[in-house]
Amino acid sequence: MKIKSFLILFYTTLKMFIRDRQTWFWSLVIPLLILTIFGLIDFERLGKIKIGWVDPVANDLSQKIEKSLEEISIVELKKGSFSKLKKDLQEGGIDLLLVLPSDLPAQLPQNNPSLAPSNEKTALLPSHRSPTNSAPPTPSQPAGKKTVSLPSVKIEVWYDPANMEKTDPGLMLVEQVFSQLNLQLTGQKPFFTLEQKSVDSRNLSYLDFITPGLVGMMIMQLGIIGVAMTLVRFREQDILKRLRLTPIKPSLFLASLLGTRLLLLILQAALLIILGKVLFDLHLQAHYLGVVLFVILGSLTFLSLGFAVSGMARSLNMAMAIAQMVQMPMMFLSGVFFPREGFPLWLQRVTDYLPLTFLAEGLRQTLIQGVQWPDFRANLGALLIWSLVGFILARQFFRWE
Amino acid sequence: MSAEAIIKVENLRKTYNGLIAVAGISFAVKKGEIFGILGPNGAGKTTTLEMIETLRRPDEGKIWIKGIDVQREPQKIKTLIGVQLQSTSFFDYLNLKELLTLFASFYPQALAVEETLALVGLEDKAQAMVRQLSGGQKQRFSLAAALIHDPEIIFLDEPTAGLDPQARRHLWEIIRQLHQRGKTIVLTTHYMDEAELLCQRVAIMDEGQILRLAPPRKLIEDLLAQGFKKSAQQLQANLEDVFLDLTGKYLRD
Repeated sequence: MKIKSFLILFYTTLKMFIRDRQTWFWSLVIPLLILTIFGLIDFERLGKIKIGWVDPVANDLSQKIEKSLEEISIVELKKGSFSKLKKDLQEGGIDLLLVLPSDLPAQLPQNNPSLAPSNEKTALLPSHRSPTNSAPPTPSQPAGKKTVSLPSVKIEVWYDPANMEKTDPGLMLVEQVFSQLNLQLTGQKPFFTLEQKSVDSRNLSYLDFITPGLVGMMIMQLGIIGVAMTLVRFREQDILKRLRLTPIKPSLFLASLLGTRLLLLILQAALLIILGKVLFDLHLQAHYLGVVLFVILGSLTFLSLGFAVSGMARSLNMAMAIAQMVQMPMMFLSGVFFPREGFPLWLQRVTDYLPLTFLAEGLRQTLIQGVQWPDFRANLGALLIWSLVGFILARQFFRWE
Repeated sequence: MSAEAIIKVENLRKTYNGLIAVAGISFAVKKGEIFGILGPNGAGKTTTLEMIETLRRPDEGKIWIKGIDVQREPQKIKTLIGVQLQSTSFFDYLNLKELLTLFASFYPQALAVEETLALVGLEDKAQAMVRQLSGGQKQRFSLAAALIHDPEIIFLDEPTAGLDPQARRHLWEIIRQLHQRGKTIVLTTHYMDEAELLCQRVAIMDEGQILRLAPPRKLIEDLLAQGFKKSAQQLQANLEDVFLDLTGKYLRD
């Protein structure tokens, strides 16, 4: 009898939600919209160092330099006239400006056999900063007997001192490029070489970072607002009162509400992940059982918080306001959109304990980072504690009238 | 307790934040009668009903339905009574048939959904949603939800409030039919004509107390016996008769 009542209730409640267009809007349209927006933004471009490139000669050598700069993945070259690019630099359109001298030799000296005997060392192309000129030009170094004295070529590097975060790495990068060119041109083998080894061979994107967080955020929003609004509406319209007139156990009704919402949240999380994979080629490396556990515990946590919020609110508007007050800070403080490392330390410590922090981090571990059991148990355990806290709060605050 | 009393209320009292809503009332409802509770807004009618319906706990006093203590065994009471609240909504996105099926599932025994809809004249609306119904249809559906488990006692809180004359008459007809089937009906109303027409006995309440309890006819005769006279001469018809004569008695929704 009880199980049958529950099944009928569950089925009917599900039918209700499925027929409600709002359910579809919040569970389908909004996540898709957010995912699309974040999928379309090229976050990698924001992190690139944009270098202006003034090349008055366009000969073999200048082209060689240009090519080695362009080969660097985080560099974006922008060609143009000096006056225009300088204005760009001042306005923040580019981060550095390289100006080649108009007397840049087209041919490299050691390409000429007579000038390139073995073991000859010649320094070429020293970089220096201009207009501050902090690095004095390195004089050419005579070495060995058959020295060919070459004039060093000055290349101006302009920068904007206000743009510190891009200037310094940019200058280092440019200096590195030229010192490598120096070595190449002089035919010297480098003593040290760096071998790149990544723990993750996949090229993870910002979307990979953000999608698990988005799934967590969606669970939070649908959990808290969805349940709180529904319950307050049921209460305002005397639907809860009408149910209390029937012999059904009130807890059975609440359980079916919780159950249907939980099911919808699981489906929705799956949908968001699948859409991310299909549309934006998420780099999934998932521990699926872990993902499911995080989705369930996260849903239970936020659904029970929704029950609590419904009890605190006297009206629909108030429910909305309280829900937003709970959700908004978490949205931005739980590391959904950006890592929390940028926060002041005290804020990091506080936000360490937010339920969405555990959910977002847990989903990131199990969905993208390929973390295996039991390495995600800390987040899972914390979320379990949060779902119990939510349950206690729901019991404390929920009311029928 | 008198043998025929199906509901018995003794010294019922309820206070909200120091305001007395019900001030120690006692009365009994006889099996098979239509019992009216009349009174201005705030008289304590709805509070009294809700205490009998198990929705509120009295501060003091006792209530028995068929000899069962309402406060002690509310679950048993819930299968005996059917309640139409003053203005209930139902779940959105479910049609009438689905709603009644759901309500039927809450009870150990229930009538067939179609039969219940036919009882209130909504058999054609099984697939409609509540929001698509007219005011009168909504009230009748609310009544159907109260009847689904075939209760012995039916509570109606202002069943005809806000309805047009045709719809009111239609609802009266349904209430009479229920009465003929032997149901006990307790209703509140602001319409004196309704109480006079339907109720065997009425209790007139004000400020949480019952001022009078008797058949309507008896109350009128008592008043006349005191020498009461209407200030204006009464005609044999009123404006409602004119309205119905012009617009007909058939139901519009």
